[in-house]
Amino acid sequence: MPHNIGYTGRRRFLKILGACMGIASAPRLSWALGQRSQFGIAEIDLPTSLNRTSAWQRGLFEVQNSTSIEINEDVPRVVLDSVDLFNHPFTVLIGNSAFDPVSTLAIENLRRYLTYGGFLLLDDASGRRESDFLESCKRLSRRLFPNLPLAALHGDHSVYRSFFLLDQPTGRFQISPQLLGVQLNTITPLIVNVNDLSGALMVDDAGQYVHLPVPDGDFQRRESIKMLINLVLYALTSNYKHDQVHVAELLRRDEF
Amino acid sequence: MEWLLGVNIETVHALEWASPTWKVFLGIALVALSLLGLWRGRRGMPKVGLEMLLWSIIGVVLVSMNAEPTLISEVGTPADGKTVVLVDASASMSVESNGNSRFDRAQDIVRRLQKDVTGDVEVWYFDGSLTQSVPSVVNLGHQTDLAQGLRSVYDRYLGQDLQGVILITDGIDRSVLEDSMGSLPVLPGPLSVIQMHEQSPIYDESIVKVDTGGFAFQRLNFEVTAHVRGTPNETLTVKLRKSNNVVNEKTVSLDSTGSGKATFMIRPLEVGRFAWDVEIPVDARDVVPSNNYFPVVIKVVRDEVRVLQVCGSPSYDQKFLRLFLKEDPSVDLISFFILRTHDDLSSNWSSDELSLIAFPYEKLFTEELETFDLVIFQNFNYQPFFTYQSEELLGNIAQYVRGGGGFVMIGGDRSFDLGEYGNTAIEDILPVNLGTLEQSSEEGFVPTLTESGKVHPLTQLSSTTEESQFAWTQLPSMDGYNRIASVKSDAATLLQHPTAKDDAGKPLSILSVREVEKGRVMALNVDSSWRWSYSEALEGEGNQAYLRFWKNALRWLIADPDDARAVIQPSRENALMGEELILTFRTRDTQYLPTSKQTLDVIVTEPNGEKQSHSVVTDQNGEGQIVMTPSQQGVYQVRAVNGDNVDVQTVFAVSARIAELEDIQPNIQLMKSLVEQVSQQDVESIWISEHEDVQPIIHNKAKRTVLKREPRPLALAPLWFIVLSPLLMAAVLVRRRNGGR
Repeated sequence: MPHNIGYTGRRRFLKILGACMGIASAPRLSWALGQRSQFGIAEIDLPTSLNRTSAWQRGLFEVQNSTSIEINEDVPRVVLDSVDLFNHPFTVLIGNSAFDPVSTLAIENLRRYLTYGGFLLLDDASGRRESDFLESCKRLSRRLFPNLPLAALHGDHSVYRSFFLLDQPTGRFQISPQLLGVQLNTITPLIVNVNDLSGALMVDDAGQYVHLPVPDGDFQRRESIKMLINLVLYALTSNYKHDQVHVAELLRRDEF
Repeated sequence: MEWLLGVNIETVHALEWASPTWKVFLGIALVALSLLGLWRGRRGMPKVGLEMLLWSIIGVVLVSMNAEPTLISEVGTPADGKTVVLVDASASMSVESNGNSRFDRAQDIVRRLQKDVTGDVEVWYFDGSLTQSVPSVVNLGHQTDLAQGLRSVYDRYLGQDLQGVILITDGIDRSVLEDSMGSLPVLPGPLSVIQMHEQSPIYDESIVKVDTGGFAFQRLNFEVTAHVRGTPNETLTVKLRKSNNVVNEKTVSLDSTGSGKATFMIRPLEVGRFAWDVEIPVDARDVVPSNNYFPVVIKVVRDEVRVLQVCGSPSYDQKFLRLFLKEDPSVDLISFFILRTHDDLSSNWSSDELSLIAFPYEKLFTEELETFDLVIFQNFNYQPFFTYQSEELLGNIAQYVRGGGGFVMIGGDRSFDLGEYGNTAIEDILPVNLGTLEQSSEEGFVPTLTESGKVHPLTQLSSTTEESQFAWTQLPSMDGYNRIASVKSDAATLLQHPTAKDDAGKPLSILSVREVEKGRVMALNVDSSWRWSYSEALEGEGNQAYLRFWKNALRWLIADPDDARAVIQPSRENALMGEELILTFRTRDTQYLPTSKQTLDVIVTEPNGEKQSHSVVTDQNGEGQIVMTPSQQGVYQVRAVNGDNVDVQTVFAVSARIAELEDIQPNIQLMKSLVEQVSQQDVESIWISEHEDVQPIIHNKAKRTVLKREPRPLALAPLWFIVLSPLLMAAVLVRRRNGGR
């Protein structure tokens, strides 16, 4: 079978997004050995969770455009207690309200998923500091890892420098200057952003952004794109940036 | 009873049968035939049963008489007590003075005693146990146990009074005499200790022992500590040598007891077995020159595996492999991920915003390359980075592998032919040939094990072959593969595509391995092995398949010397002279299957340079052995060759170092303490210097009872006639009543 199977659809996707964003030069066109092994984002499907496929597709385009990562533009929805969860090592759960406790089966499934390499981003779209969604996320975290706290990720965490050098997380809002996360050995497989990251990236059918981030508008959106790219790079490379050789190199550039 | 048997039964000690076996069986046969004939003639007659019973009893009595029963009686008669001489036959007795060893001088004393002492003189030589054989000076024992020697005398002469026990020794004890003196048995005669010692202090400089810890870690310093002994408060020059070259030298100041030590630091760069030796000068006065040299072989193992992971594009496959490598404490991982290429520069991000560093490819693949045990190219295309240096840098990697490094190429859209590795130095070392037109496929499939894959250590996912084969069938499908042209003839395919073929028309290899001179290479032409990590996790069983696969791969790729296809394994790296040592040879083919009936030409080079030739034929497990007893002190080199297939070598060290010769100064104080202790048991005792004309204590009045053994045949004892007469009369009577004659 020739190597360019699956290529046509992706090229069309990139052309559409490129046209929407007025980007003149197309990014590198390449392919992994099968679409399933390309990087993709899957949304967790809960009764009260939000569906923001366009935000992730927009973000994936930026990932493809800015990095060497090969992406799969499909954004499927998966349920927590399904085997299909394990086909998507990067998942997001978006919400703006409380969600009911998930089943024990779902907790066990999700714990294994996160323990053996999966990554979950909890995106709070409520725009409130201590929202019901955040409370539900904390409850979920406690059930997943009873002995591990959901704690603030400080400025030296790899997620803030996995691709861009970031001072703080952003999104549609700027509610919290820190991400929250659960540290499992050397990795952080569960991260919470309370600034509505997906809200800053959502586009409508015409390719126009749906929300204007507040308070800094397009600058904040740009920072949001950088945040998503860093989250993707962190999910794939974990503490790569903390390897000694990189620390030494970054120190030499006074950028660390 | 005494009259019946013709013997005084109080002196009877045992019953023996004096008749030869053939005569006993002949008697039994004759009696049986007679009874049979009698029974045939009398069959059907009344009361034949009673008659036959009587004849049978008579027959048994006759058989017993024919066996010549003999009663053995023992009669005690008084005799003079013996004199027991105990001679120390341990190695320290070989120390010479004026051409005479302590043992030679002890023998002179023995001969004098045998001549002077009246009565029986029994001479015993002891080391760990007693023997009456006279050992030669070159074959003296290594483990003096004086307390055991005295206990053996007590046990052997229990109940006897001895005229005397004469102990001839230098007093050097290698057991626990000093601590166990209070529990010594009361000797059956007076003790005389004749102390062997030189009149002037003996001169001996020695290497008492060398501490190495047994093994060392690659690239980490380890200590070799030589404990030396010589003239108190003087200095001694200690040299550390490797391959007959002095690599370090230290001057040691000896303390007031004459002890000192020299510590050398060594940083081994390679794994395997390596020989060093420690040496001190030999003075003309030195009475034991052999303990001035100490060879050691140290096995150098890996502390950690240093891995360079270079990935052309962050992906799930890279993520899971990095997680595995980072979480393994035995792995020192250096990762370089290409996060951004020239194609991504159009995204208009300012370089100040980015947390990126340059890829130090030039440094990595020149000066740093040798510091890694394994290099992984994971979906990495070299051309955008190496540019005009491609030939040089790829050539460096190939050379690194040939020199013993490990290399893995993992699939993806930047690997194999898609990474344009065809006709490069990398293709030369890969297990597969490149240059296929159809370079990849996105069709999912489940790889299957080949015959080699069923037995190769790399693909063993479980403890048994059957479980491992089953485990592979349970793993999820791959998302696609890099096509290859063919597999090289000296490579092994472990996993293959179930249906696809390569350009040679053979099942398409998915996982293949190859040994390239000293190095090893693995080609995994898929980029979705990460799915193996989740296959068990989703069933709640962890990620053992993935971990096991990559652990196996790491171990195989770093080519641990003991895991090579051809291996020589000595039963000990450091042996003692005279001890048995086993050399085990193990061979496997390129498919890693045991090679049976392979003849290995083995050359064992002894420390003096002499070569011993052996021929070893491997068994069905691919193994063969040589059992040898090294007779020289020093480093032995072993090399096994079989045509072009096998050429492997190893070393082991043989030391003549025995505890007996570590400290050869006679222990006079210990012997005087022994004499004092025996005196406290109310047994007369004396310490005598070999140079004094003092006679040992001999109690001429000591007596013992000698038992005389006297056989008393029972064949003609009255008992037989008293038993036989009524039986015969009764049998004849019954026979006549039954109508017989």
